[in-house]
Amino acid sequence: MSGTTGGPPDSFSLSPLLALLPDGGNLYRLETLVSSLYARQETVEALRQEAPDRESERRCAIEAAMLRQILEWLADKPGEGE
Amino acid sequence: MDATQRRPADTHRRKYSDDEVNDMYKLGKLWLETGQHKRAESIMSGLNEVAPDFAPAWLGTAFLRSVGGTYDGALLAVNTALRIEPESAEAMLYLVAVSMTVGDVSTAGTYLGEVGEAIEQGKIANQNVIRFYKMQLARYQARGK
Repeated sequence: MSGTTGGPPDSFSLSPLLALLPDGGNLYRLETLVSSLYARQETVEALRQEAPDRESERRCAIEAAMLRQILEWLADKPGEGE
Repeated sequence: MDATQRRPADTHRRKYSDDEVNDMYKLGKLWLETGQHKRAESIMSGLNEVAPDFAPAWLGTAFLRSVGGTYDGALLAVNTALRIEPESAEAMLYLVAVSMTVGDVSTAGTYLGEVGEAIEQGKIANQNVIRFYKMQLARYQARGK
């Protein structure tokens, strides 16, 4: 949505609390990490299987869920030229 | 996280680089901006776990807790961010916003004062921070009437 001036939407007006969040890194760079993220996910899933207690299992599960979301997003992204 | 709290499984886990943490956070923020809060929650919670000293992800968690109406959780997350980066104007303003919401006007006033001072001293150039400060200041002053 752009305003009547035709400029880009003002993110602050849409959600001030969200606009306050720091910017972060680079999504293009994230795309180069697919292999290492897969490797991490495999490691974390293995650790989760052999977790010595519930807390360790919980922590591995949280990390695995994050990696799964990222890898799904990377897999769904259209490749170059598409 | 205190090193003494590390558990055996942690010793097998490689630390994420700063770039990796920042890039994953960027994706989490993108999902916040596009309203995909469940997916963003996965990223922010994951980063809180694997990079507990990364303040932006604690602010992302505070945002999610705030919009979900879980203000105790929001306060916990924003206080963690502030412990990591005590000078962060963004974290202070998050604390102001949540404190005002739960009626803790005293805490809100303290941190508004800190941010106002930093703005006066020219330490803050981010216009979103200044705009948010003015918004919260107006909210604070309205409470006093």
